[in-house]
Amino acid sequence: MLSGDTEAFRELVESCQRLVAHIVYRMIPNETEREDICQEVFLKAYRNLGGFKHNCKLSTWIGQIAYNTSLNYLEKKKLVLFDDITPEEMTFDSLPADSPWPSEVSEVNELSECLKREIAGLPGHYATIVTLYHLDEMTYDEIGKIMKLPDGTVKSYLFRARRMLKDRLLEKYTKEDLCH
Amino acid sequence: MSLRHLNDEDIQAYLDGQLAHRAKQIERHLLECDSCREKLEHYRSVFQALKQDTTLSLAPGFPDRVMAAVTKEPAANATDSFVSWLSLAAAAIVLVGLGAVQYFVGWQWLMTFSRNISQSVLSFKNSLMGSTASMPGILGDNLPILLACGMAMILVVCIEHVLKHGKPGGTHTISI
Repeated sequence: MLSGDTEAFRELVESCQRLVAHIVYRMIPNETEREDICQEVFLKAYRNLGGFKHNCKLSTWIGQIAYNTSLNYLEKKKLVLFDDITPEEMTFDSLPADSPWPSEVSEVNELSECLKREIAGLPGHYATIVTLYHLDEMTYDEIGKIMKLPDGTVKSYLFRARRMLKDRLLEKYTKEDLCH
Repeated sequence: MSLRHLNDEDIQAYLDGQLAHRAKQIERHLLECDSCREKLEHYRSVFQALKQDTTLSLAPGFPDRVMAAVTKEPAANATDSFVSWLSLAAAAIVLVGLGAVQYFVGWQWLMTFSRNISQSVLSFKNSLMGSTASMPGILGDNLPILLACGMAMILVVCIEHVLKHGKPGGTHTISI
C-alpha cells in the first residue's frame, strides 16, 4: 500500500470510511461540507502514507487525520468547538423526581431520534468521544491518540457527555412527546 | 440498604463493565433501591440508543469518488523512497571515492590535504581572535578516518531505514 497500490488503498478507504465519517460528522456542523472533508482526509492519508510511523494502528492514524482536518476546518471557518457548557450545573439530582422518562416508551426508534437531536447539540469533542466509544467501540487510549487527549480527559469528557445526554432527555422530553 | 446510593459515575462505570469487582454488591443494592434502579435504566436506554445511531454513514459510492481523486495524485511515497535511495547512493559513492583515493593516491595525500584545510581554518580563526594556538594534529591526521566513519554511519542508517520501511516499490503489511 505504501508504494502507491491503489487497490490496497481502496480497501483502506472502505474499512475506515465509517470511522472518518463518525469523526467528521460529529465535529463539523455544516452538513453540505462533510463529505468533501471526508474525501480530503483520505487524500491527505494517501499523500502522507510514507510518513506513517507504525506506532499505532493505521485506522488510528487515519482517525488522527480526520480529527485534525476537522479542527483545521473549524479554525478556518472560525467556528467554536466548545459551547459555554457547565455540565456540573445539570445533575440528575437537580431534576424533578417525577420527570417522565423516554425509556418507558416502547418504540426504541423514538428515543434514538430524540438522542440524535441531543447529540447534535453537544459540543463537538463530546459528541465525537461518545460516538467513538459507543459506535466504534474504541478504548480510552485509542480515542486519546486520535484526539491527542490523556486517557483521564477522555474518560471525564465521556462521563460528562453521557450525563448531559441523559439530563437533557429528562429535561426536554415527556413520554407523550416521544410517543408521537 | 446494602450500599450507599450510586452516583452517576458509578452507574456509568457499572454499565461500561468497569466495576466487575463490585458487581454483586451493586446488583444487590439495585434490587432494593428504586431510585438507583431508575437512574440505571435511564443510562441503559441512552447507552443502547447510542449504539443504534446509523445516521453517520457516507453516501454510497464514496470509495469510488475517493479513488477517482486518488488516481490523479502522485505515488504515495515516491518522494520518501527517492530520498532513501538517494542517501544510500550518495553514501556508497563517497565510500567508493575514499577507497579510490586510498588506492591511487594513498592516505598521505588526503591527510596532507585535510591538514592544510584545517590549518587554514585555524589561521583564519586565530587572526580573528588574536590567538596563537597551534593546529591540533589529531583532527588533521584522522580526518579521512572520521569521514569514512561518518559515511559508514550514514550507510547503516539508510540500510536500517530501508529494512524498517520496506524496499521502495515493494509491498508492506500494515495492521488497519
